[in-house]
Amino acid sequence: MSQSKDGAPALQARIQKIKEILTSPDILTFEFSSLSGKKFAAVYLDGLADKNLLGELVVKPLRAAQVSDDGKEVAQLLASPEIKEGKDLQDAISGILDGNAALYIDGCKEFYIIGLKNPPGRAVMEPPTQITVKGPREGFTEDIKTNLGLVRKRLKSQRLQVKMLSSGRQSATAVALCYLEGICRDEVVAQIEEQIKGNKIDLVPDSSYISSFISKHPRSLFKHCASCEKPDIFAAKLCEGRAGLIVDGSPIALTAPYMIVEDFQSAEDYYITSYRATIIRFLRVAAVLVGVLLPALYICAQLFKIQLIPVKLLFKIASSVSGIPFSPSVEMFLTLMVLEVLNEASIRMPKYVGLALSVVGALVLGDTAVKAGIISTPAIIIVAFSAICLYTVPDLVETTTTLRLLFLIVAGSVGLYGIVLLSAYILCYLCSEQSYGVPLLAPFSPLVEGDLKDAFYKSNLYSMKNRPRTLRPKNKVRLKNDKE
Amino acid sequence: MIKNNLSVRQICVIMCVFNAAIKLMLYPTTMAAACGNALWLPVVVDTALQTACVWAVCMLCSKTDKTFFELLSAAAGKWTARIVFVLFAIYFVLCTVVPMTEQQAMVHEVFYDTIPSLLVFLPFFFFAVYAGGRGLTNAGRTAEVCLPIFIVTAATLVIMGLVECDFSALLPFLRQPFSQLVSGCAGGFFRFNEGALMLLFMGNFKYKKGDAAKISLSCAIGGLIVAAVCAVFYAVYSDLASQQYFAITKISIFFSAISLIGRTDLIAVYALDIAMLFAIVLNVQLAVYCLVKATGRQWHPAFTVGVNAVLIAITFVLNNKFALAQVMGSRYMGWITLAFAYVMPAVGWIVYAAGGKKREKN
Repeated sequence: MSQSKDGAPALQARIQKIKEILTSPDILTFEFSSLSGKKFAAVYLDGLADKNLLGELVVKPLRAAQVSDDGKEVAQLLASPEIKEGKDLQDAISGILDGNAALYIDGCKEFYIIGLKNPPGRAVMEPPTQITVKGPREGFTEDIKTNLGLVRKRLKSQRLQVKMLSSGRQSATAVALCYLEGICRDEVVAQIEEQIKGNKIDLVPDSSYISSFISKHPRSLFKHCASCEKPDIFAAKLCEGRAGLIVDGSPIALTAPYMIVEDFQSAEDYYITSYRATIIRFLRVAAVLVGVLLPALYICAQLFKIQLIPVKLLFKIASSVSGIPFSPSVEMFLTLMVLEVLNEASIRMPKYVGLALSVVGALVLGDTAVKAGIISTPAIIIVAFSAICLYTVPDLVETTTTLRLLFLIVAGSVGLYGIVLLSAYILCYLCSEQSYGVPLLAPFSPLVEGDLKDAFYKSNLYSMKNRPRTLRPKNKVRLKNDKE
Repeated sequence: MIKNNLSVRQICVIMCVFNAAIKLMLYPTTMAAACGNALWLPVVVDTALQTACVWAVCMLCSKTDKTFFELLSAAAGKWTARIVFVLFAIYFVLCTVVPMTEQQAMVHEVFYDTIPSLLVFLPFFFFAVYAGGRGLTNAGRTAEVCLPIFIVTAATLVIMGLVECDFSALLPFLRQPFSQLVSGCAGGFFRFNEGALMLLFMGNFKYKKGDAAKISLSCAIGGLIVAAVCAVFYAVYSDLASQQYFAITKISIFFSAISLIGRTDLIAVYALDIAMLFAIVLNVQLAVYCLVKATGRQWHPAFTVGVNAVLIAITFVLNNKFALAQVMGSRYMGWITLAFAYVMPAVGWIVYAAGGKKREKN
């Protein structure tokens, strides 16, 4: 290998060495010279690094400068605010793959990693799963830097700490662990950090992967960390004493510790009157209970306990179900399956086809099936109402739809006692589950009276003076009155 | 890792909710048969006795942080403590039998239009195996969840029953002969085992000043709830009360809106049954707790499976012999309850005093 006077390898040899490792054709090299004739080479990944920035911040100032032989003034000449001196070849490779440029100087051992990362991404927009009528509408994007900026915009505090971690052996996905120092428990931060570092999977394409890793019981039907798409919710949760995770490439951030009651709270609850918020929260709880239990109860009422249905309604149902070739449980199961298939197809299909599909599914298929006497009208009404009810708490839909199916199976086989036993089983399970030392059913079990102010009923903001005691924050006071 | 630590509030809820829920199945009917319109009186008497016993155990808790097992071990040796705890485990298994058979009969009558086979009840044991091995911490937490369920459902049923109540049926006061009241007290005595529960909770919670009053009051309130339900039940059915099994499921049947809205009261009964299930399973949890202490080992699924295997065997033996379980309960279980819920707390005080003397000698 050719070397310069001070033992540094020649520019071409160094570029060659990188090209031997990064053989992909989208690894580009741009060579240029300064006014004094000093040669430079910038190696970068096409599509991830911003070429305009490379031209403006790196090439332009160096071309116009008189650079000495030792090239020590290069760092001062560069206009980029993000410059790091590289240590070895591995440093250069990871920098390039990350979307930055590696700047080599002919005849110098030193090289620089210049932050030019500008991956293609969408703009900040309202998240589709957490739409609000009142309150902020910004949502996270797939870019970790943008997301961190959105959080910083809301938390201009020196307490906000961001630990940059990496997850995935091949993907080396950046994960930002955010927390408020002096508020969030150190054990929670340490535990999450340890779990992320301990994960040895190849690829982390989304935060849901991280969610599985940081869960104590990854096979559990119930999640152990909350997800949110809005920076205002994320910031509020950090302020309560939780730790948050933002994963590069995912618009969904995670927070832990998690309590089930969080999913019944919506961002809008905090921007409307507490009375209205309380009513809506009760409605959500009732809707989820109805959504999960109604199909199962309907089957039980038909199969095991007709007395549950009022007489007039019973006659209506009897006339509807007469001639249906399936048993009530099979009929309900089939209707639910059709709903799930329609739901799945309408999400995956292109928008315009999806519209046609919903017409075909809801009107043609439903109406024809009833007219043909395959499915009864009450079954369709119950399944449709159940689906609508479950979507009042969208963050729990994955769990509640599975529970609905479980209850349906139990109701069809064991009957009402099965429903009671399964409910008791789920309660017992939830009572023993924890997320980072916080019981999932808190603040109801164990009962934490102070935290009930923001549980199923929503108290006035002024009365919520302390952070949730359940989370055991280091600093307990949330609202300080100047007069006190 | 199975945890057994409880908070005072959880103990209070257990004393109030679980002990009331477990007595709402057949107890009011048996009391109506034994004491007629004074059915509430044995409940009050037995509750008063049991509350006094709970208070005595609470006072013992105020003196020491040790569990009953540790107290026994310190005063009478480890093997004595182990034998006592094996006996306690057997006692709690026996305590499960009567409510379990009542639950089975209630399920068959209230949950189905036709009489289902025994198999329908067997899933109860899946739940009992799972919940039985969860430890006392879990029992305390489930009690807290059951509190609102119990309050809402029991209140709904009682309010629906109040509409058709005739409280004059409870008069004249003390119409029954004294001997009948005594036999009522004795017949239902075995259902009041709160003293034994409290003895096992001892050392698993941090006692603070005033906790004895809170826990004893909760126990008394639980008993008073049962007495109130009994009174409403008799006010609805009068002399026919002794023939109406499963009082809580029957008291709301004459509510005028039921003909319009269907038997929606049954939804409350089913929800209340969740509290009843946890109340029954608490005995299984305590039996497992005693076995773990007695063997000196870590918790193992075999303990829960073993306890439930015994209960399944008893269920098969007592299938269709529901009355036999009741008779055996009222005849023999009273004596056993006397030994474990009344004598054992006294033993607790004795071994505490004996341990104190030993400490002084050392």
